[in-house]
Amino acid sequence: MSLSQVEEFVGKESSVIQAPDEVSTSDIRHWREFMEGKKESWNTNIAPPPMMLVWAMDPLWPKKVDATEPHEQVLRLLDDAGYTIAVGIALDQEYFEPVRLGDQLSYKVKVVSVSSAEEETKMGKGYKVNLLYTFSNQKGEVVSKQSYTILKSQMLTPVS
Amino acid sequence: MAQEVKNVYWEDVEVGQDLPEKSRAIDTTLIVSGAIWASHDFMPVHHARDFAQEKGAPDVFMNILTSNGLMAAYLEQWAGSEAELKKMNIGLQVPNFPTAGNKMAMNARITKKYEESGDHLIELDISGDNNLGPHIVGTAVMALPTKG
Amino acid sequence: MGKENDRIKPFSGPPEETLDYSKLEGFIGKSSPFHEPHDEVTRSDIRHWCEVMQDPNPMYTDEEYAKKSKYGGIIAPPAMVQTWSLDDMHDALQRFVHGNQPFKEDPHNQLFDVLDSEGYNGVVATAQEQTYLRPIKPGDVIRGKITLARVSKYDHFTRQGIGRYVDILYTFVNQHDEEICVESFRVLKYKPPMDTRRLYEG
Repeated sequence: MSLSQVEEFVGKESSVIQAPDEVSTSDIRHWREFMEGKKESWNTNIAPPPMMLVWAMDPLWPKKVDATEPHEQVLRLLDDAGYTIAVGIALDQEYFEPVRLGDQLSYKVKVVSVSSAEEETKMGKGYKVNLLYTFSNQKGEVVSKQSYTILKSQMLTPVS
Repeated sequence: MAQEVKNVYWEDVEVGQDLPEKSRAIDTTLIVSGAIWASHDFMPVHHARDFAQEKGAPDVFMNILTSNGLMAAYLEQWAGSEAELKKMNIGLQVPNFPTAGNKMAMNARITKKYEESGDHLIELDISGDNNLGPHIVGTAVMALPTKG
Repeated sequence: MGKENDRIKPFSGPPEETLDYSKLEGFIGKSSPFHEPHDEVTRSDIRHWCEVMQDPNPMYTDEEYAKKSKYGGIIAPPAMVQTWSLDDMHDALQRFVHGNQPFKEDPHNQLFDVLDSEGYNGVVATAQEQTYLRPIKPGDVIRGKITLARVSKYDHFTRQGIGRYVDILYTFVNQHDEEICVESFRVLKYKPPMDTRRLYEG
């Protein structure tokens, strides 16, 4: 693979990406039921903070065809080089403001670093891609920053 | 994702008319997301292969709400955004399994064109066929917009 | 019975004793109360559905477009109606994995219990007819009740195995008690284990 191409994107940040939905009662309740078990009533006014990345998931359809943002391009270059499996290996979330029912979130993704060579990890060999997500609400307040590390690998060979 | 959909007008359709066929690949993602994500159906035969096999099926299979939804979307996309679905009546035959290369071919034929309480209606025979044979056989009623 | 009878069976043996219809008859025509949904109707629910169905209809997802329509805003695809009445995840797993019916007192559940206990513990939906009467909008609270309409008097031999069909009628209303859909639904309750793989693999 051409590492020089990947390096071009390190330090670059995406444009502002809108979450596909406003924060809704059903999204919050689904998460809470899954994580907390069944309850008689649910707090759907505030979203559990760890849920944040739910609103950064790409729609199921229509499929995005162009990898235009820096982080998408990095992941695609690794795909093209045969590192086709992606697995999240680290997540560091910091929360600043509550996410409330009806909020319309948006986010930016910055490519912080990419391994300069194939690394050995407990999951197998591959390239680590570290991304910084910055989430804002409709008032422009930063609600969360998240450092997310993805391992791109040709084959997962976990070792204990 | 929303986009303008061309409308089909009631005056322009006729009995015997076939809608263009449309196919949808049947894979595990469609079956699981159709059950859990779209229709909130947690019956494990629609998402857990082991459970489905224990119950005597070779694999997970599509839930009826997703089958119905796919047919409804097929009709609505043909008719356009001003059409109104009035009735869906479906029977299921062979299941939709996520076998490699499997797809469901959706077809419809207009069987009746009539007016009722101010609505301009068509009735259709509908079918969805997969690699094993007919999955859905049924009828639908839709109200179409008029040019007037 | 002698040992010979175990070894040499007639070609058409005596019919197996099957479930007596009188155990089921008493539930026919009875209705459950209206049950509250797990969630109100939300735009995200609607988007999820449209993405799976690959339905680009702007009536369902484009607020600006939908505002100008006769509904004055987004509506849900009518075929989605039953979505909000299905069990939540917990209840579904209790029902299907642990054999612990929610709303045990509902007539159709009592009937399913009888069928389960008689060995008809597989279930598959086979037919559905929905008539849509009013639009569903975000914020609506859709409640449903179930009326037990009919059960097979005798066993059917189906692709799934030996079973009984059960016809149930749904009535869906919104928070204004307006009927939005009536539905008839047919399920087959069948006897597993019945390895149907050979039937489907060709």
